[in-house]
Amino acid sequence: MKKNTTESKLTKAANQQMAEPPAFVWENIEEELHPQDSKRKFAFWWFGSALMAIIFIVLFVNIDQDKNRTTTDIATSNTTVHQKNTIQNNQTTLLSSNKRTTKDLDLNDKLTSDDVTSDDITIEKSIGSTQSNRNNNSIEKINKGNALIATLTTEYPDYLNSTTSNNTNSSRNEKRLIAVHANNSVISKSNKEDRSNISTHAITSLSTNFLIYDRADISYNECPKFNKKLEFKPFVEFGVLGGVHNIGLSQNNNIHLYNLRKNSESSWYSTGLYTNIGLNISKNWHASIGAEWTMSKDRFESKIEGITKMIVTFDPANGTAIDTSFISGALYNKGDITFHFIDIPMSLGYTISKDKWKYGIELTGLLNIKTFSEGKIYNDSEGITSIESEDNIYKSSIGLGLKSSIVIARELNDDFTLQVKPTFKTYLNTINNENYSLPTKYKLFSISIGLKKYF
Amino acid sequence: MLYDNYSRQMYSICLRYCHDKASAADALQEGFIKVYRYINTFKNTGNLYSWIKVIIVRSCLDQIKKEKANFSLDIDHLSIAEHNYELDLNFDDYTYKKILKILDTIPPGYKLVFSMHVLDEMSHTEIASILGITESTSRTQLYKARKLIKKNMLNYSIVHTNVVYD
Repeated sequence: MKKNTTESKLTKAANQQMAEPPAFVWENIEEELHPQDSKRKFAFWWFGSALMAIIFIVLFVNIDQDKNRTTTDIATSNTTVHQKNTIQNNQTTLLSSNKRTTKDLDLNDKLTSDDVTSDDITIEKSIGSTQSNRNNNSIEKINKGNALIATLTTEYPDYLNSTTSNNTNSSRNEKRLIAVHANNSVISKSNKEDRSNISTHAITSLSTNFLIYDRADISYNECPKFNKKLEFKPFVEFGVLGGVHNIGLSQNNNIHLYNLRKNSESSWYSTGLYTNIGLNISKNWHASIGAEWTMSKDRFESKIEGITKMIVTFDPANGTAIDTSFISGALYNKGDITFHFIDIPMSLGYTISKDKWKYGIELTGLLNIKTFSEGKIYNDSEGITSIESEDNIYKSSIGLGLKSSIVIARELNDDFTLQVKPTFKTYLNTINNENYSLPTKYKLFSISIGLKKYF
Repeated sequence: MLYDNYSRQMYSICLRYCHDKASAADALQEGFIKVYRYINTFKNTGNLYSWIKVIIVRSCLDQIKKEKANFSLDIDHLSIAEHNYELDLNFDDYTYKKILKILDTIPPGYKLVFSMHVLDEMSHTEIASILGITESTSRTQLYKARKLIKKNMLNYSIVHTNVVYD
């Protein structure tokens, strides 16, 4: 069927029409055409979500356990608990009306070392606006993202409407604990009987994300401890090591070879590299796994004394000997022996903190996955040969080992710690092959210097 | 890329067939999914644009059917002589958009066949195949569509003139 000219123009116009489709159309097409990507994405998000859920549950259980413990502690001392107030600093009206709170704050009071916290605080509070409603139910622990966050205006409206007249009795010889939290840290805490004037600066200069914690009529010992919560802090560490080693030979009925090797080999030095990934599983404990390469060098020197060398000089014209001379001395054969050990260390450590320093110990189980050695050595036939050409002397993998270290560390900043570890390492098995006549043990004393990066 | 090259034109077609933008987008999406899935069956000797267009139009019809469960074409089987099918329409005084407005005033079945044949250059064989009708019916629909369009164009002119001179 043919079209008239006008319709052809219309067709042409129709063909020239264009409209921008919505962007989601192409996204949906891609989604439909590449379901594998979608599945992968789903798997990724599913795995991520599951991981997050596990972490959340672990943290939740941990917090919950902590909460129960703390609440019990407070409950037992409830007879002396009279009042605790929690006030946000941006509530200026409340601060001005609550003279007791503002009086008791002393910015200059410092935390003791036991109370020092970093960014991880657990703390409890109780809120009771009047004597009658101070009971166990009013005791509450706050642990919300490790920050103390409460809004009196919404959570405790009764308190806002009450006066502070019944808070404390000034005639009592009471001890009080006051802590100021800013940026998730306790910055000030006091425990005192008198009531000095508060520095208003202490409140007004703080950021809004802090609370004043005020607890009256509780002896210092009953005051809540600001202990670090259990935390899982991952880290990576890497470093170098240097030290001295010992290749211990046993005689084992081959005294001659033993003597030859004993006299020809001497320990020289050891060096190496290591890296670990790990987790701080509590304030004091950490665990890690990694890889470690150690290289130990021995010197080989064989000296045979009483050697006489005869030199005969011939006449090139007729081939007759024209001179004979003798040289006497010792024959030296020198070289190096090098051992390479590749281990997988699995460590458990305990450290205590003092200011920016950490001290502790670390026990490590080693799995030697590869050992290789090279250099000169006396073989079973008591001839000097190369280790590489003798496949019966040293093992290619040793098996298990142990390592113990003393940890001395210094925090450089929140993320990095410099650590020095004097370490003793040994393998539980001999490093020689089973059919070699001289059992050989390896021991290393080293000092490692490394950096630990926390995440 | 195929989508970049043809999506605008095809979306314009979808907008013409479908009732709203959402339906048009759905039709475009389903159409292009088919295009990508069956691109291997396309023979290089053919016209790719036409090939894609047929798929998109089919997709639009599927979309219309999906939205209106009882969708059916009001098709009667007039038997008209071949020479009567061609009516001399004069579109010279009308813009493309005006024609589309006039197309909206005729029954869906007529509009569909007219759009497919005149605007989208499909043969009666293709139309018959897509709509599940005979070629003869397709021709009949086209004849009626042209007739109605001509009539409505006249009405449109009168209305338009009245508006202008009121």
